[in-house]
Amino acid sequence: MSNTALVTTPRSDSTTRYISTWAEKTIEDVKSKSLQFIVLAKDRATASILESMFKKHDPSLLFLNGHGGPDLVAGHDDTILIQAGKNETALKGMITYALSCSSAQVLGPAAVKAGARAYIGYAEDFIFFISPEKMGRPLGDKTADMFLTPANHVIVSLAKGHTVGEATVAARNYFLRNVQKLISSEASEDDREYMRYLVWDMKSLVCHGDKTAVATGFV
Amino acid sequence: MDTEKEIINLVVARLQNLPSDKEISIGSSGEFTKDKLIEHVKNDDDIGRKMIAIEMDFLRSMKDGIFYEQYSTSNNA
Repeated sequence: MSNTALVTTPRSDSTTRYISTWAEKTIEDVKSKSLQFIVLAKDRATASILESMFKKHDPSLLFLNGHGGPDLVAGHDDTILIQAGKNETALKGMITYALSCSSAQVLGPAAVKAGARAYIGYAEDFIFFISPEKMGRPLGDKTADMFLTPANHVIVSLAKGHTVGEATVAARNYFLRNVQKLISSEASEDDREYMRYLVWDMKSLVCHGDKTAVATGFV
Repeated sequence: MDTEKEIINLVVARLQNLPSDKEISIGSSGEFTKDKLIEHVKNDDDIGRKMIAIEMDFLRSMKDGIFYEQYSTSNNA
């Protein structure tokens, strides 16, 4: 196991363009001394490249961004990267965070059963709002920020050396703080409508496996 | 009016309050405007039922006082 974190950032549609842009910003901001991030962007987010990177780097952390389903997470052009019953053993020994829809339902528990240290993900669809006029500049989209900053906080927390359990709780609390901000009198009526979706994402974020596992501290 | 119809009407009324200039991303199902979402709820299809589930879950969360809870963490993670 090494202090390497692999990150997949496909960009096949608006949703993946958004989550991947925010993921890349997050790892740029983190600049962790204890984790070296390697990004597999766009057409490099494929199962074959990912598996060869597993062999080469023996990463402690895998950060998947992409579409998903209960038993899978996808990469470039929605091709399957990891699927329960197919190649979940590839996650053995790793901590995985999947910013992806519903993969914590089946793939998460299957990965842990196959030897993954932990799997953090969403048990339901991950939902967020987009401002179409910001499509070309996702990082300037304050509406998406309300959802994607808490979601990426899992990685911020893991990179600081916190445990899987702590990182999950910290991200859930970040969602909750954003909900509480929207209750305040300063929030616009439009913005208050996002509360139910933030609550949905917050409640959907779960972790499986060893809650005391950390992604840092390897040689 | 039966309960199912009442719930659909409630969710449609709530969705009417969403900003018209935003789109909601629902994973691989794609992005939807407010008007499209309302259509899905009225059609009672998968996307519509998802919106109903979110609304019902939110109402239960409010009843449980979720706004005022904090998940416990031992440090500043």
